[in-house]
Amino acid sequence: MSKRTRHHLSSSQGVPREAEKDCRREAPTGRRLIRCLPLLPAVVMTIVALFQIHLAHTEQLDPWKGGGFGMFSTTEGGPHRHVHVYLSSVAGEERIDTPDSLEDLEDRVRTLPTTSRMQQFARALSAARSHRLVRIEVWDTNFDPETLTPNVEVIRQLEARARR
Amino acid sequence: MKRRARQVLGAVTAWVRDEGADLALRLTLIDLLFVPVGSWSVRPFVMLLAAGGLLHRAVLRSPATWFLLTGLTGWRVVADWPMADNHAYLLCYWCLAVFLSLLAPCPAASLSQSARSLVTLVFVFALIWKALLSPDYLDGTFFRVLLLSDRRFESLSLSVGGMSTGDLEVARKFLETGLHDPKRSVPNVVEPPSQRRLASTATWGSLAMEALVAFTFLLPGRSTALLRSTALLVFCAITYAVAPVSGFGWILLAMGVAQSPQDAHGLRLLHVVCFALLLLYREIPWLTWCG
Repeated sequence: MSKRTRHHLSSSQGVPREAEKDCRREAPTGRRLIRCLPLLPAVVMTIVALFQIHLAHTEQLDPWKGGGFGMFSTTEGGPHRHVHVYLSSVAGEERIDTPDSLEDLEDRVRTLPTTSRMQQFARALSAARSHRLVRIEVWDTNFDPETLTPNVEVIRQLEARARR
Repeated sequence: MKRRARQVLGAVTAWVRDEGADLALRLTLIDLLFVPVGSWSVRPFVMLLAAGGLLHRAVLRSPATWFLLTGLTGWRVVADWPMADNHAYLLCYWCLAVFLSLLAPCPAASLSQSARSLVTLVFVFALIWKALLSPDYLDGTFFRVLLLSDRRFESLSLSVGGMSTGDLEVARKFLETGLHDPKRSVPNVVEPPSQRRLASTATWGSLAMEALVAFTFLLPGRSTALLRSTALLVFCAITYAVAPVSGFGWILLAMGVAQSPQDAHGLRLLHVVCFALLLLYREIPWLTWCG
């Protein structure tokens, strides 16, 4: 670490208000870029948060996730969102529990059910179980504002044929 | 006795003064040890860096330490995408801010600027979600459902909301079971008036406190420092008494220390006291004693 940095980190070097003025004086005009660096984390944060809002509205991203600071704001997502998986074979269609090995992928599908992620989930299911068709449904719950009666609705679904 | 107390206070104030900007860095590292982050590929290295920084000042002030912490916490967010919680993102931004400040001509001022902008954005985005984007926050539905269904808030519903254990079980069944059964038949939720009041207070209280923090942090000028810090301290002291996310509160307090004037020793000390308070909230089941 440079002596300069050590100097400025220690408050025993002088009154901070004056130190701040010193800093401004010390920074040459050609180093404006360095002076803008403290704003970089805020810029990154703003971009991520705006992208999170976009994904929440276009791809049903769980508002609690994704870095947009939507936690503790809505009942959407989280434990109120469910994934149902149905497999079709010659014997008919049956709803199955997701295999333990695919639970992490199911969590990701529930949180951000994009088509590509659901297709990836369907392919992984195809590898785990034999079937003709897989149907994946992502359900979310909304609550009546008066009685709190829960109503479930499908927010995303995908059907995929097994590869032969 | 009085003299002894004055000596202790003097020693603590001197410690806060001597710590300077290091105080914010140390609080961040303590947070990383109190709430270890990530999986095995991240956690041990983060903890080692945090312990090293707390033990040795050169490690604490080395840009390399914070570059590595930024990389590790950033990798955790990327690897877990989209599962990471919001404080994982904030932690990464904060480590980046510390790293960049250590490269700047005046680290303390740079860190203060970053901290202030990050805290502002946290509360502005939280407000946008609650007041504009969420379909069920302002009508109170969110907190009514949360207080009934989330077991982390059970003590609050039992002690302040006046719910009984049986009523809570019935409410959870009503909210969570048989949702896809067209012939579903479960008893309705029974919410005592005190529980409705609690939900309403939580809804509007949270919104008001977040708006206050956002507003004070948006106010220009150095003279508003006391107002900003007070708003953030009040928010942390109240919110994290019941919200089980002390890790988020500790990052906010570390940023609060960084943005507060370095000559405001009392104010900086209050951030440390609040930091300790959040640990007590987390470790002592005080709400269960209120029932």
